[in-house]
Amino acid sequence: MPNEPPKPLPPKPFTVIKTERQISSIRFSPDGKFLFAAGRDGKIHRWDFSQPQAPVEESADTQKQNSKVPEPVVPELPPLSGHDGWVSQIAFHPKSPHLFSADTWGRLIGWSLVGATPQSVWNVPNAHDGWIRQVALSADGEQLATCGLDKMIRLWSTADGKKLQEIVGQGEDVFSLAFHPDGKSLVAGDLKGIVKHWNLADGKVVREFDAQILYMLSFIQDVGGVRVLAFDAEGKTLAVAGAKPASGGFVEALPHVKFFNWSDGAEIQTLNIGEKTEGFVHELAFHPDGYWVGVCSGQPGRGRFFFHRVGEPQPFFTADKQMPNCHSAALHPTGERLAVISNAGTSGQMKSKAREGIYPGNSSPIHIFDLPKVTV
Amino acid sequence: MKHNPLCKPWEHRLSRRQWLGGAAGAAAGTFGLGNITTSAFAVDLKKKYKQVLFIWLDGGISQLESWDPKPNTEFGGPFRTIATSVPGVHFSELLPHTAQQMQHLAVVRSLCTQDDAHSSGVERIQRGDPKNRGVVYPYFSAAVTKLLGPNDSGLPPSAWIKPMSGGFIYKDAGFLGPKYGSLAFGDGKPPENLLQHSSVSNQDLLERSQLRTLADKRYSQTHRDGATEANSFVYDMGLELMKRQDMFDMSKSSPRDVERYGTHDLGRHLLLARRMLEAGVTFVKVNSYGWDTHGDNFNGSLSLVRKFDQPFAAIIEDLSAAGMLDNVLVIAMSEFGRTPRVNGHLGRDHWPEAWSLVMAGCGVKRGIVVGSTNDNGSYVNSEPYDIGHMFHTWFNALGIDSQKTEYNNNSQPLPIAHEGCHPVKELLA
Repeated sequence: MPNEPPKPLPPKPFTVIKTERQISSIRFSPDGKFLFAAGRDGKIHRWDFSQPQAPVEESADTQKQNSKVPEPVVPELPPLSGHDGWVSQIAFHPKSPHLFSADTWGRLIGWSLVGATPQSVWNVPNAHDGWIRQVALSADGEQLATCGLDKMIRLWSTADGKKLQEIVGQGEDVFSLAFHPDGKSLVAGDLKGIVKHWNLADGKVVREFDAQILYMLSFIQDVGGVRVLAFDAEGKTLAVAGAKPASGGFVEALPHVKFFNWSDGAEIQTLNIGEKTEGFVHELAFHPDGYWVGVCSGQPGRGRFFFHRVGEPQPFFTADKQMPNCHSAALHPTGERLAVISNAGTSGQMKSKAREGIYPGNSSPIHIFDLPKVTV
Repeated sequence: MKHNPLCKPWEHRLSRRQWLGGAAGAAAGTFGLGNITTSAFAVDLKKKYKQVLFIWLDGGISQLESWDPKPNTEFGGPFRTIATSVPGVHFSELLPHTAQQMQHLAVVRSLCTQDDAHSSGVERIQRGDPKNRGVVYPYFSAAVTKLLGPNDSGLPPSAWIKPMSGGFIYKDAGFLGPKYGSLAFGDGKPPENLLQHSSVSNQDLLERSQLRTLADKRYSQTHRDGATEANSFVYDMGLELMKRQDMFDMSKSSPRDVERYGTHDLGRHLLLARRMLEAGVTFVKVNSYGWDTHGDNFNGSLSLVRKFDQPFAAIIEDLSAAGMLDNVLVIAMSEFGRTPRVNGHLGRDHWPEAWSLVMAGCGVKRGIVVGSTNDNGSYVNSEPYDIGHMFHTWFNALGIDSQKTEYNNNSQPLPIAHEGCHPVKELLA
């Protein structure tokens, strides 16, 4: 196929950062020097990538790394406190040294990253009534959008944390949102698989995208939801992701992504990934080289990360072996490095351990890969 | 004629068609379709009879997302807690309506039971996990209807409202015999064809009923009493249900009730349960399925627990307002709780080591929490209670002395609850 775009070489394992607790999401700072993680211990964890030490053996594959975690080669910095419950999301300002973080108790914090120790510059304790599902920055960094369990979408000034706008009418628990790169529109996706395109000028719905395949009612359990919304760099393609649920309880679900043409709303492609044990697509990021990087997590031990170019029948890369329960991924700003969080520890009950007074929790190792540049 | 002690399996199968056919036949010329005013009956009932509402959350509700939250701890999950109507008692934020009814409730946070599998755990819990004596013990429903005896409502003593199919569930009765089985109302609906078919005359029905009586007599000559008795019993229940069809007509529910209970299965079924209690059913079990949240537990609990919260709070409020809570024992529970540890699928697995249930009403202290777990919820740090303790407590709450009362199983005396356990006095009013 002479016109086929060049594919990058497979990712090369760089290191694995061990964590003590589980992690919700990870992001590289815009200068690429730091990796931040939203912790399910209510803290924001940080690692300094500015002077990484020697990498681990390149031949170590993912599975081996998981069973024998190497010593961290990236120095960890003291975590940031101030949240309750789980830190659900973090996002960096695209142009200035600021971080924004949200938690499951409804708190939103703006941080200044100037100096050795980040400082909270504003703090909104009840930005939402409970779980803030997603945060997103406008392209110019002026506005921060949040959505949550309270069915609300709110826009905030990144400068001082003041509420700028409230969008009512999504109707359900709002799982995900994203600014269009032009800054004029916002998309939000909910539990029932409805994606609404909101015009920020008047706060009205422009149109809807149908992703109801991402939802099912199992007995009385609502299962699914639009877990991810993302645009490509130019805002021409909207990616809507989650899973096609097969059951409640265990929640068997087939990872599923829909790509829409933003200009006319036409569905470009539907992508099913793996098997129904592999669960939800939890993250999609658009790589500067024009492809999507995604992760999914299903039954304990099941998950993967994949690279996909829209229009091709299947992802052009998926990890050979399962990477247990990938809940987030972060692309380095240069596109040359990828961080993926997985899960380590034990599933099941461990009653005997509990009776001995030992009851270990699980953790989220962060797998760091180098992404070799595409060579033509 | 030689007495054959063994029944054939199909002889126990009381299909809806059989049941309804007989019920309709016997009704001819004998019963009209007049209604009994359920609220008037309820007033009478509250003076005389004890009843049970048993809400079974099949698969295992997470105690951490309901009755025993551990916010801001390693295994506490993402949710906040909320204050209840009883100072100092907090629930998960997923129970806002129930929190306002805490003054009626008794929460047990120190359950430690033996079985962590659904297949065996459901039976062990609902049979009270007695010592093995080579017999199959009755479910709590059968035990209660046997020990409390019949009331004069004429309705099935044990009704089971559940999703999916219905039928007569005789196996719940264990050694008590099929008569003490439960009549299951699939999807909360009455059995099909309950009304007398227009093509069947009253004379036809009368003759059919007489034929059935003859057949019963003949059958009983060669079989144990229990089967024939159960068969006749089911027909009689059918006759009574014909008079009470209005119970099932949810279109007559007030808009306020529909809003308060919700339109989902559990809401509709709990509203029907209230009507059945008002009409005089001794034991009403309501099942909700899908609580086995090994995956995506927190989003799952968001819909499951909240859809439990609303109608549960409503029925507690209604029973209390009607004065029925004095005589109706309400229990809501599962076969076990869920692991404190969160697995990679953001689920919680089975955890019988430290879990919770809630009860209210007849014979139970109100507004109390009994027992506790350690800081991260992984084990009980007060006296642990097994299901045997709960059976003793429930029987005593219903006025049955669980340590003196025995079953008589063909001259074999059997304790009604595990003799290694005892009633939890803290829970008893």
